[in-house]
Amino acid sequence: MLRTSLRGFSVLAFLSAIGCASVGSQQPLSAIAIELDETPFHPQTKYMCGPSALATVFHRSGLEISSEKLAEQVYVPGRRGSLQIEMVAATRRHDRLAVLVDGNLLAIVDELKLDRPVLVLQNLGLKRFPVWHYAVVIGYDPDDDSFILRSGTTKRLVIRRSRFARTWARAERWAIVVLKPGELPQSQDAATYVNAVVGLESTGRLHAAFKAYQAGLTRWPSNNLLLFGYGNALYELEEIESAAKAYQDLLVVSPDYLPALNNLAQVLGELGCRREALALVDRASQLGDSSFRGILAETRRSISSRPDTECGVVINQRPGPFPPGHP
Amino acid sequence: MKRLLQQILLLSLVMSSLNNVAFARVITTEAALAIQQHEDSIERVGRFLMREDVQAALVRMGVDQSQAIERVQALTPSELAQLEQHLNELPAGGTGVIEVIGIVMIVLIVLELLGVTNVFTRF
Repeated sequence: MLRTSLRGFSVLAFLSAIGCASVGSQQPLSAIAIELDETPFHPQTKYMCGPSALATVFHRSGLEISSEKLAEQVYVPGRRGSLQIEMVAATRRHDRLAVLVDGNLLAIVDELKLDRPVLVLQNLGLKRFPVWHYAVVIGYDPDDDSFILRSGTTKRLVIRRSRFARTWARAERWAIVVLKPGELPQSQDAATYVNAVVGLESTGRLHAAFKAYQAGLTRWPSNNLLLFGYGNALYELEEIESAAKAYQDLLVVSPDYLPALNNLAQVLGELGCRREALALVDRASQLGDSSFRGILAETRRSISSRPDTECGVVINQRPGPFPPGHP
Repeated sequence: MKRLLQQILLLSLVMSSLNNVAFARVITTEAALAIQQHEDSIERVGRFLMREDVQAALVRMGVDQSQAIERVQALTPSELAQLEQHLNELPAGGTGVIEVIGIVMIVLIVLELLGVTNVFTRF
């Protein structure tokens, strides 16, 4: 009996401790006040917070596109709103990258410090009755611990940090920054950056993707996917020999990276190096990885069907990763 | 107009099959990423069908036909797959107050529909 009440007491004490911690004693997210007041304001009409928010963040990346024009690219009348996927896709259509911001308030402030407004999704309603809303965070004021937003029809919405945090958390803390190819996000997470760049590449924005791969490699020089994508972008831009070099560099870092073995084989085949190419396919097949079996077989067929010519390319393995050059 | 649309569709079909020929033996970055994230890589044929599905769904939801064609072109295979399955449930950022009114309207409409069915069963 005594034990139970003691336990109850300690739980209560614990809860009240948490309660105390969250009332007013939070550290400010930044010592200085930040406000990107040059961010334009695109007041929304009706259900158009998505296009308005996009137009607002596009400005920072050098794009002046009206929210009406963007509505044609993201608004879904039947849903009376815009989907996150299409917001991201629309940035690609303008050769920009939408990179996810890490899901914490500090990460938003970090981007603001780099002069980048942050596009956020909020749920202004309840979990069960969501009211989805896009807004743009343009500032943070440590004095009253508040965020400053361009939101809806309000040019300068000041919202308490705790209140903003709740509405943002109910939207799974979704936030993006829009970058020009060549710019890097504040986030140190290579995967989110790579995801954004691969999106550019796979939707055919090759020059933008190439530039973004190049920039990514300055921060993450031995990331497999960045090196691989860099090679693929070169290949698709028909810079065949540069692509071959890129795949070789990747194989120095990761000798058993099957996609690079396959693609280098394919490229060498195209360059007339049949024997070298077939050796690579053999090497890839010996890895016993079944994920790309069909493509490997296809590569072998295509190389075998080529005439046996003299290999005109110098295939030398470079000693370790090096900063990528221009094609 | 319809003829023009058919031609656009045909053209996009031809373009995508040309792509297939050009890059059939090269592993795309997208596919390598999918394998790394343990997702199934999406076959190109599947991608083409998904693209048509999502495009049709967008048009049903009031998006202009030619805009819908451009919009699906900007989607990656994994995004297409997500939209194909969840276009109706994914969060759609609209706006505050009006959206709330929308929810009330939906409730009213549902109630009305229930009323209509009652009327029908009575006669």
